[in-house]
Amino acid sequence: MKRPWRGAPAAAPWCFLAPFLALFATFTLYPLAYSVYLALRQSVGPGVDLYVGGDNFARLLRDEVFWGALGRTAYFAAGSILGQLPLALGLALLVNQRRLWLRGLWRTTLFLPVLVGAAFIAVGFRLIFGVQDGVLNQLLGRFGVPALDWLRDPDVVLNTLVLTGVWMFTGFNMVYFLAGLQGIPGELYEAAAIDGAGPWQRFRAVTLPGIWPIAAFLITASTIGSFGLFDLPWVLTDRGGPGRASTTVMVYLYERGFLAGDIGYAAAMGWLVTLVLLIIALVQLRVTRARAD
Amino acid sequence: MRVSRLATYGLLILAGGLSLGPFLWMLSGSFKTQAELMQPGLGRVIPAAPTTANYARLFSQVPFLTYLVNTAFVASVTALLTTLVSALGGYALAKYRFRGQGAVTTLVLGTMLLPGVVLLAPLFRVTLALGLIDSFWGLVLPGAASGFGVLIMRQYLGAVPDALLDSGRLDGAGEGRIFWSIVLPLVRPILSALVIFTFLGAWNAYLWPMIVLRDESNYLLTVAVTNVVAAIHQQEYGVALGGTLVSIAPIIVLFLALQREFIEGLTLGAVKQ
Repeated sequence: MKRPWRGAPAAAPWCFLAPFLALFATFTLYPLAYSVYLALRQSVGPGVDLYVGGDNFARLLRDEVFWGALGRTAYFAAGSILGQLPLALGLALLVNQRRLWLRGLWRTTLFLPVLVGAAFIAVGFRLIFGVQDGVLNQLLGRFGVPALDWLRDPDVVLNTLVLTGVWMFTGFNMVYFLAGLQGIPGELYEAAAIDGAGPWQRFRAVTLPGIWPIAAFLITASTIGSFGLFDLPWVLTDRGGPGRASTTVMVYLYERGFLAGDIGYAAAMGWLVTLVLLIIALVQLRVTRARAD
Repeated sequence: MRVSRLATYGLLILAGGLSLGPFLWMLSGSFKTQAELMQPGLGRVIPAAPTTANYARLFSQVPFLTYLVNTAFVASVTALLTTLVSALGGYALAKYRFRGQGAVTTLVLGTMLLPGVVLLAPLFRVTLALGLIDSFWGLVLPGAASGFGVLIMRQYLGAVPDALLDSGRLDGAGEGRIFWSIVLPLVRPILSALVIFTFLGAWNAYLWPMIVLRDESNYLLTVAVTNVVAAIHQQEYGVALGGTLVSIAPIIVLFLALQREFIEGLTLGAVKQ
């Protein structure tokens, strides 16, 4: 352990930390404590502000819309992970090949959707998915695929969101996998080849273990990100519609807390969702750790 | 071997086409008349009668330039402030030993993965109480204390040799001066990566600006494109497409100019803690 230079004044680190701590206390720590207070109060109706204990949570547990939204959010998270990660890994393997012509161009092209905010994408994609005969249906029709009502069929809309998510984030995951692939020493492949391992065996014995930590990170990050999903269902499928078919927890929280003004209920919802997310993350961590060992 | 190379390029062209297709379709559509956009079928890539009318309407019927300036301003201030606050805090944690250091680090780590859902409702009340609703500061300040940013900066600043700081002190430089003139220039790449990361996040943010901003003249592009443009031009798709393209074009241009910094900025999360 190194010793601090005697000349550094003891107050120096606190001066450097001051801006961060002031903002952090105001906009993270205090709201966090305040949301516990809010979650225990009834806040709906004119002038109503009462301590109600666990009433909000009891209502939440009976709220079918909430559980439906939670289920749809989990569906989106699972669909995103299953849709994006294998595709991203495949593309990373393609782009990572030696002697690839125009390597930089491919990477740039595949990365481009990552830059565009979900709200912008949603406006453009509303027209691509189309009301009746959008471009996507026309295009799929050429290959004999029957037209789908991407934005208005309750059985389809969640998949529309997953699909849009795949378009948006596969390039992002690909870049992470690429970094992981480049971290695998070439000697490992050579050693495996000398031992007579074929391409598939090399992939299983060298590549997969090498990128597993990245995959584990991406799974957790996608899950947390998915639980914040708001822009796409709000704009693309019109406020979580049709009906409740694309209402995610964030959409429902916004609806209840901000449009209906029941901020106490929204705070309680925030805590319950955090708890669910924590449990999911711990389970994922267990599974991915076990896999790594 | 030839088959696999053929397959490689075939797959890459397919993936690249899917990736770029929507951009090209929006670009082409934004130069089409409403009548041409409404025609069934795939439509032409090059509009039959190219028109800039959509863009003209965008800037004349909607104060779109104001939204562009608002967004650029908010995103820049957010990026610079967040990065500065993170660098200052990260420096304190990386280069000093002091009482309470462990507590601060634990606090930052413990709240870093906090999901947005839990803070949204109380943060609104706090912002309201501070009088920051409908103010750009209500967008900039809540995110400026980024636990993630502090941890990233702590990690990179930890690699700056102590001997450099000590020699600065021997030369009589104050602690602030050492930080500003010796340390910061050494970590410029990570600073630009963090600036880009936060800039992009602020440019694309939608829910929080929608909650905080009330007056239409304060809107950011995300809110404007989804609300104003969509409301006025329900039946004028070309204008909506033009608005979307104008909103994303600055980011794409920045990206093409600063590719390495962008990729670095967006993969900051993978850095081992």
